[in-house]
Order: sequence, then C-alpha cells, then structure tokens
Amino acid sequence: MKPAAFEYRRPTTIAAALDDLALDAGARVLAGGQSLVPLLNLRLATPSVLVDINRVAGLDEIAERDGRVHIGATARQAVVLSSDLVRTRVPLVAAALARVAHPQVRARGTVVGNLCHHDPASEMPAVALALDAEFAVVAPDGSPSSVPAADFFLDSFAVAVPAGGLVTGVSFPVAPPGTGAGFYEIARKAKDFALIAAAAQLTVAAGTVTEARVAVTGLGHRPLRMTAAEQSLTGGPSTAEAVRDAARLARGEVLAAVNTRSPAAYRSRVLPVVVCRALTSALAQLEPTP
Amino acid sequence: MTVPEPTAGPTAARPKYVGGAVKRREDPRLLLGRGRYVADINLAGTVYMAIVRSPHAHARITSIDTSRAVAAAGVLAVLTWADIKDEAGPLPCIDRYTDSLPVLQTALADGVVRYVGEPVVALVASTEYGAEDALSLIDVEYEPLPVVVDLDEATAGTTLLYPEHGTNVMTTIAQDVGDVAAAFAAADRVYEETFTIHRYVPMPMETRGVVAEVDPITERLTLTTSTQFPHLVRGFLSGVLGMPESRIRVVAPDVGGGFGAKCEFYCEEVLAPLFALRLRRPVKWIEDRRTSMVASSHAREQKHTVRVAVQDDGTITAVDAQSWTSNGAAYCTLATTPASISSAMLRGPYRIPHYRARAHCVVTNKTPLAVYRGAGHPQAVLVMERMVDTIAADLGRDRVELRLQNMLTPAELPSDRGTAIVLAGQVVYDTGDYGACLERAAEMIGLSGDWEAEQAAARAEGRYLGIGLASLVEETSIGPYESAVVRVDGAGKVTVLTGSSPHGQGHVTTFSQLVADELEIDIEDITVLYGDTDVVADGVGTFASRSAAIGGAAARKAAGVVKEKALGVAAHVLEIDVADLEWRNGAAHVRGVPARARTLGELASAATAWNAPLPGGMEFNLEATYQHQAGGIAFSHATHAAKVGVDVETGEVTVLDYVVVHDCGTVINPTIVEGQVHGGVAQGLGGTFMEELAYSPDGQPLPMTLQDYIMPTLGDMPWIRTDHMESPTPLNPYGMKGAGEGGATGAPGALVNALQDALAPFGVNLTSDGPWTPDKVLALIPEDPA
Ligand SMILES: Cc1cc2nc3c(=O)[nH]c(=O)nc-3n(C[C@H](O)[C@H](O)[C@H](O)COP(=O)(O)OP(=O)(O)OC[C@H]3O[C@@H](n4cnc5c(N)ncnc54)[C@H](O)[C@@H]3O)c2cc1C
Repeated sequence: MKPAAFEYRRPTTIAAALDDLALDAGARVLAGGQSLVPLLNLRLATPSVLVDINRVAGLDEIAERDGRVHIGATARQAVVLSSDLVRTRVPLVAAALARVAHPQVRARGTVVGNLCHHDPASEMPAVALALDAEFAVVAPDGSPSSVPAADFFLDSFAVAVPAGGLVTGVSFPVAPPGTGAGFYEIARKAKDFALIAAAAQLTVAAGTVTEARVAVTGLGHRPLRMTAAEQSLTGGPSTAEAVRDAARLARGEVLAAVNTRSPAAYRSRVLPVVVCRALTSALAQLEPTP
Repeated sequence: MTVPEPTAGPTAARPKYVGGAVKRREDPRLLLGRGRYVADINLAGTVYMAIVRSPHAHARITSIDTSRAVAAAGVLAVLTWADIKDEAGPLPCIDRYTDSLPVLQTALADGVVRYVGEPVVALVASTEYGAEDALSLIDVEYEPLPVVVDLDEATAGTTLLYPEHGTNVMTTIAQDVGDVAAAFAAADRVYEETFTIHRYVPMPMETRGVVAEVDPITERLTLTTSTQFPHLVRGFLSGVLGMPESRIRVVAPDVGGGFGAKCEFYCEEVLAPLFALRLRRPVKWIEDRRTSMVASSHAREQKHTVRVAVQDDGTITAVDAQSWTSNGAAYCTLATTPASISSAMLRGPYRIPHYRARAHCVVTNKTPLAVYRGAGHPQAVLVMERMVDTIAADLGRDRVELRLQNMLTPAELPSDRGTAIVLAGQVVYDTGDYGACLERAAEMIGLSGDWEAEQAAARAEGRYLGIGLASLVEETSIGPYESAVVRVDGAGKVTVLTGSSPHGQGHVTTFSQLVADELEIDIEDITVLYGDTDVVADGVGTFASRSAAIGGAAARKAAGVVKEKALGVAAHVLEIDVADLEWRNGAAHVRGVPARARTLGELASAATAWNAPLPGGMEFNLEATYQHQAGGIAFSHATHAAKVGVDVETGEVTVLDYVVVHDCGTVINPTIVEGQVHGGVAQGLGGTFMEELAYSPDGQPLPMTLQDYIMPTLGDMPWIRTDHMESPTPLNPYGMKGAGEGGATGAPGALVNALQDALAPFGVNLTSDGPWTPDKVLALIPEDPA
C-alpha cells in the first residue's frame, strides 16, 4: 500500500485551490481521503498533484438558506449525520447517510467527496437525484455554476466537474410539511456499499400524495429516478396499497457490469421490493404515532 | 464468576484461578494500542523488500530482465531464482505422506509460475516507496500455459501443473474401517450426495511481515516474523538455507491473528534473510492486504461425494466417502492436513461402524491451500450434518432423536475410530457426552414440541424461519510436545517461558492461571515470555487448539517441579525432613506448626549462588524445564444450533439466535473459551454468508481488497449464547482439551442446516456451504412464493 509519488498542496482559499489544480492536468482534489487514499495506495489512481481542500476556510458549513440545506465540501459525513438541521429539514439525507460506511470512515469522509467519487454502489447519489440536489461547481477560471443532480452523475466514477474545477457544496430542498422519508438498502454486510438501494420521499396533504420522489442506486452507471412510480402516486391516496401498486411500476435498465457480485437478474427481481420498502417506511413516518 | 480474591493469612484456603473468568492480562496493553507488531519494528538503516509476482495463473517464464531496476537510484539488490537456487532449497511440507508426489514451493519461481501472486523476482530499495516503484522496472516475459482452476478438471488431468508426474492428484489418503461393501449390501436405504465447499481464507487482521537482520559481529541472523510457530520457522530456515540453527534467532513479536495462515513457512521468510546476508542491513517487508489475498495461504475448498447406508430403523451403518481438496499450485507447510482431517473425522460423533474414505489432494492454479481454524473439520461437519438431516427428513424422524440414536454414548468411550490424522495420529475418542450436549443445545435454541407450530405460523405470515443443528467432535491438543520453563527470582517473582507462541489467544492469562494455582501465588507475580527462540530455547507453537492443553500442562508441570525444589530448599533451611513440609499459599509450611514457614521468595533467595551454599548435589535456583508430551489426541465436542430468518422477497438471511454447547474438558477460563467460540463462529458465519476467494476461469483471483472480499463485522453477528460442559480427558494431567477451533468448525453446518430448514417448503436441497449471498438464496425461491 505505497502510493506513487505526488506533490501535496494545502491551499486555504478557493482561488489558491484552483491555482494548485492548474499546476498539472493530473491534479486532483483531496477531501476526506476515504475513497481517494485507497485508490492511491492500490496505485489505481496516480495523480501528480493532490490539492487538499481541508484547510479552505468556510467550506464546512451546514446551513439553511432560501429553502435549501447547504452542505459544504468539507463537512464530514459524521457531522452531517448528527446535525439536527439535516435530520429535521432533509430527513432523507440522514436516513441514507446512516447506511454509508462505519463511524470511523464517516468521521473523516465528506458528503460532497462521496458524491464526487460517485461509486455506482453508493447510497447518496440516489438521494441527491431523488431530491433534485444542486451542486455548487467552480470552474478553473473561478466562475461558479449550479449543476442539478440530474446532470451531475455522468457515469460510474464520473461527475460533471470540469478538469481543474471543484465542488464547493451541495444543497437539498427542505422537506415540505407532511413529508416522510424512507431508505431501503440491500448490502452484503452491515454498513457496506449497496447491492441495490432505494430512496423515497412522500409529501402528503389531507390523505393525498402531493409529491413523490423515488430514486434507486445500484442498477446501472447512474442512479435512476423511478418516474412511473412517482407519477402513479402523485395525486392519489397515501395508502399502503397505492405504494405497492406504484412499486410494481419500478423499472430501469439493470447492467450486469456495474456490480459483478450481484447478478443483474437479482437486482431486477428485488427492484420493486426495495422501492416498496423505501416508500413504505416513508409512509410509516407520516402516520401519527400512536 | 469473578477473579478469585486471594484470602489473607497463611492458613486460609486459597481460591483457585483455574475455572475463573480472569480478565485477560494482555488486553490493557493491546487495547491501548501498545502492541508491537512486525510493522512497528524500525531498526536503524532498514531497507525495504518488494516482490514481483506473477500476473498469470500458469505460464512459462521466457525471460527476466532486471537491468532497469538494478540501474535505478535507490535499488540495492535484485534476486531471481537463478541467483539463489544454489543457496535456497525448496520450502518444506511437513505433512506429506510417504507416497505423496513432491510438489514443493521454491522461494522464487523456478521457470514456471502456477498461480497469480507467485513470487518471481525480489528486490530491495532504500525506501518502501522506492521498492514499490522499482517493481515496474523489472521486465518479465511469460508464455501463458493452459490454466486449470476447477477441481473436477484438475482431477481429470487434461491440463497438468507438473507434467513430469502425469497427474494432478498428488496424494490420496485412505481410511478403511470395517466392511463397507457388506454394510451397503445389507442396507435398507442408501443416500448419496455431492457437496461443494468453497474457497475462503483466514485473513488475520494483521497481515504477514518480516524483518531480517544480520549482526555484523556475531554473524547471527535474526528473523522477526508474524508467525504462529517461531521455533519451527527457525528449523525450516536452517534447513532451507543450510545454516546452523545456532546462527538463527526467530522472533514472533505481537501477532495480530493467524488462524492457520501464519502456521506456514513462506518465501518472504527466506528472501529477506538472503538479502540481509548480502546487504548487511535490516531488510523489512510488510504484506499489503492486496498481496495477502494471493500470498497468504487459502483454505477450505473441497468437493465431497458420500454414500450413506441406513437401516429402516434409522441406524446409519456405513459411509463411503470421497473428497477432493483444491490444494492450489504446490504443497505448502501443512498441505494434506485438511484432507486428512476431513477424511478421518467425517463420521463426527456417530457410531457408523463401517467407513471408507479416499481423500485426494489435487493441485490447481490457485494460491496454495493450507489449514485454517478447524482445518478439515468444518467441511466434514457440513457434509455429515447435512446428510443426517436429509436422512431424518426422508425417514420422517425427529432430527435430534435420529442423531441420539446414532451417537456414541459415554459408555462406549474411549472409542478407537480406526482412522488416523496425519502428524497427529490415531483417532481414539477419549471422553464426552455427545448426546447430552446435543439435547442441551436443542433445548436452548427452542427446538421443543412447539417449534414446528411456531415455524408454520411464521410462514403463514410470510416469515420463513429455520433451525439448524450441527454436532461435532474435533481433534485438539495435538503433540508431539510443548516445553516450558518456570523460574523464580530472588524476590519470589515468577517467569514462565513457553514454546507455544500466542497470537491473540490469551496465553499470558491462562498460563498465569495454571502456574499461579500450582504455586498458590498471585497471578500478578507471574510474567509470561514467549516468541523469541533466544529467550525460549525450545517450542512447537500455537495451532490445532493445542496451546492451553499441551503448553499449559508443560508450564504447570514445570511449576510443580519448582515447587518440589522449593520444598527441598525449605527442608534444608528449616533443618527438617521434607516429608514434614507441605506447600500452601505460596510457601512451605511445617506440618502442624503453621507459623514455621518460608515463602517462595525466601526459598528462591536461599537457592541463589550468593546465599548460603546448598547441600551437595542440590541444584541452585528455583527453575525447571518441562517437556509435556501429548499422550494422544484429545477430542473436544460441541453442538451448534442456529435459528435464521429468511426474507423470501430479497434473499437476505438474518441469524436470529445462535447457541453453542461445547465441551473442551477442564475449562481454565470461561471468558477466553467463549471468546474463542465467538471468533470461530464469526469466521464460520462469514464463510457461510459472505466470504469467498473466487477465481475467474482463467485463474485470476476476483477479490482485491476487503471491499470485495466481504467479512462480517460486529453489525452482522448474532448474540451467541454458550454453555460449557466439562469432560476432563485422561490424556492430560489437568483434564484440559482444546477450544480454539470448534466455533469455526460447527458454524457452517448449523447455519446451512438452518437455511435448509427455513427453505424446505420450496423443496430445496442445499449441498454447498455457500457463500449464501442474498442473490443465491433468492434464486432458490420461486418468484411468487404465495
Ligand atoms: C471501509 C469503508 C466503507 C465505506 N462504505 C461506504 C458505503 O457504504 N457507501 C458509500 O457510499 N461509501 C462508502 N465508503 C466511501 C466513503 O463514503 C468515502 O468517504 C467517500 O466516498 C469519499 O469522501 P471523501 O471526503 O473521503 O473523499 P476523497 O476520498 O477525498 O475523494 C473522493 C473523490 O472525490 C473527489 N473530490 C472530493 N471532494 C471534491 C470536491 N470538493 N470537488 C471535486 N472533487 C472532489 C476526489 O478528487 C476523489 O476523486 C466507504 C469507505 C471505506 C473506507
């Protein structure tokens, strides 16, 4: 486990980080290191320059602004998970994050780094897609842009960040009143990456579903939104039966190559089950506690 | 139970440590991160070894060009087979049968590579990173050869790993008991099945590592290595290098688990010394996890076919078995032991008077296979226990009752089973009450009259529950011997030296308990030393559940000799006949005159060179060396009972309850025994549901890291409930047997039987040990189970 030689930079401003990233085409951002360092050690990644953003001031925010919860690029998974703001305002983020890795890893790993890494078996991309997260991307020339989740995840381990640019944060819309969030995952062991997982959020007013958001990870090279299921629920009753019917509409191309440890036939078969279970637990949260 | 509080006063009876849940004395240091493992050892001037390994499963090496590496800055030396072939003999295999074909490993590949990961070129550079960089500067050309990874194909022998032998079957072990043909001819029913057991691996938390150093003045070589048996490593290295043992010191510092993977002698333990001898600098190598996947021994993979002869009344009269073990590319240190144990122990606790087994050791293009916690036992238990359940189901018999009917009773023990285990000897079951153990486990797991109703009711709600049992008898406490030294200093503090070098078992605690009880002293007054062949002159090691029973007995016996010596010294000091003295509470007392006494410290002091001379012929110093020889194999036994729930929509299996009732003779420390059971069950559970070292058809190992070799964590473990039974063995002076491996031995059988029980409504017949991952389980369940 000995990485190849690299140059190490630790800027304190975004402008300096961009300068460091411009040093070489092989430069790469280092956040919590929980995915990148193993790659370095295995020499599966051999960047020429590592730009450590952990000292860039102000990137660790967790704050609510304009109806969205913003999570900065250096906010640790553990801190995000234990944040009351996150738990109450974007409960789906907390529900999924609880299934990401072990406490030791979460103490160091970041939510943004996890999303930028975009392992196709990763839980959080499904949440980002389901909730229409927005990524704050800075181009190499310093110009900011906001990239919606639907455009952010390009392929396994590929996201829409230009070479030499970086992500400063991600934001999720605050859950409207009357919202329940549910996450269901099948993994090979506790806290492991997903074989398949579904993220669901239901907003209900007077027994009617006003908004349904469902996305699944583990099927292909990007998380998939379950639009048919969402449409079938929206405007209908918030009942277990409606959820079951909607889950049967869960569809998506299942690629064998994405996870050789989990046959495509298996993932196809359990897709409606995980969608149903995620939706069911979202629904359960809406029921008045006895 | 708590730590016995030694009571005050010279006459009060002293509570015993043995049998008490004494807290592990080694833990505070280890838990606070103060362990010292090989990787923590950094000697001044250390240089670093790296190894070019074969990317091919089978290929001829057509050329090796090391010139670019040799020219690189920081690279100090490069070795190929051509450079060392006159210095380094083949690596030993100590469990070869006389008719085994010689397929030994060499420290570097000799012309042909036979598995991915086989060492081809070794180099040393001044930094770890430089050594890693230099690997890409070695140019090796290969001409690929046909690859054989499948056991059946290898047995068929169309592709040969060693064409000179004309076969891939290197050893066939035979076990013949009674008249199998007659038993089958007379059988009412015959059951036949084929089982496959997959390849998984010990995977200790600490990978392997070595530091080799040559003292420039004395010319002695010190090899620090993460091993289970430093004394054997000293002998092996001496043999391979033709260097006298007196010039070799082997040190096993703290060792972070072994489970059999470090009960092997490896090429790095030869290569690092060769470099150290050349460079006169300390040479260090630490195995990466990725390397460890291919460079540390693999385990388990076997295929079994069994035929079982049964009478209508449920009596199992005969078993006719064949097995094939996928030994990998060559014989390693312990190569035939798994096949030998599986074939010798297949019948487990059952009478089965007629038995025949042929166990074939087959070479394949994979990493060499060796022992792993339980060695061949888990496979044998899985096969036998699945068959017993199959027979019970077919005969409509209760599975506990059918087992009891066929189990040896205490009255039938000792029982010569007519089989033998390589290195260990004849299989003669000594003591135990297998039936009582089974009944207790069945009761604890809830396998009473209500169980079937509970199971049916749960099924009606879509919950599929199952209970599985596995009863086992296992070989433990093998010899041939272990040595110990007990020494008392002038202050009465005791040093125990043991040749059985630990790697997590808690020897410091259990050996202290034994010696403290023998000398009737405080446990805190005892220091246990091990793991250095210069400190402990002789030893065998820690494997095969032998340390506490054999090494512990040696330590306690040595303490007993010290006690006799102390009484002799007391007789001299007190000017009294030794017959008038008794040993109590750490002191020699004059019988009937309790106040006239000398403590162990006083006596030790009196026996030193600078105090009053002892009478002629009496030995100075309270010290004794004792070699305890095992009088035969002691057999522990257990029944595991598992309760599982299967999610029939996703194939996920949850272990809801797990019970182990076991008997390892006299229990020294129940907490440590439970720890051994828990750890073993975790490994069996990992193998049954998660772990697999799979290969592609072209011989590429599929997992690379622990991200794709899935091992259980705390979050995956059930709460394990244990119960101890104690049937002391007459083979051991203190009745002790081994407890190290039973957990791993019983778990696969119990878990697979539980899964079978849960899925029985779907008409399944499980004939493999898994790993039963959710997709494989779901494939057994029809799409719409309603
Ligand atoms: C034992 C273990 C178990 C794990 N289990 C899971 C699991 O169950 N599910 C799961 O999803 N993950 C899991 N992970 C991965 C973990 O979640 C990582 O923390 C996460 O994927 C990466 O976050 P990081 O901050 O550590 O990023 P780093 O490792 O530092 O970086 C990851 C990648 O993202 C890029 N990057 C990081 N930050 C930015 C940025 N601001 N802008 C642009 N690019 C950036 C880096 O260049 C790199 O390519 C596990 C990891 C370990 C070690």
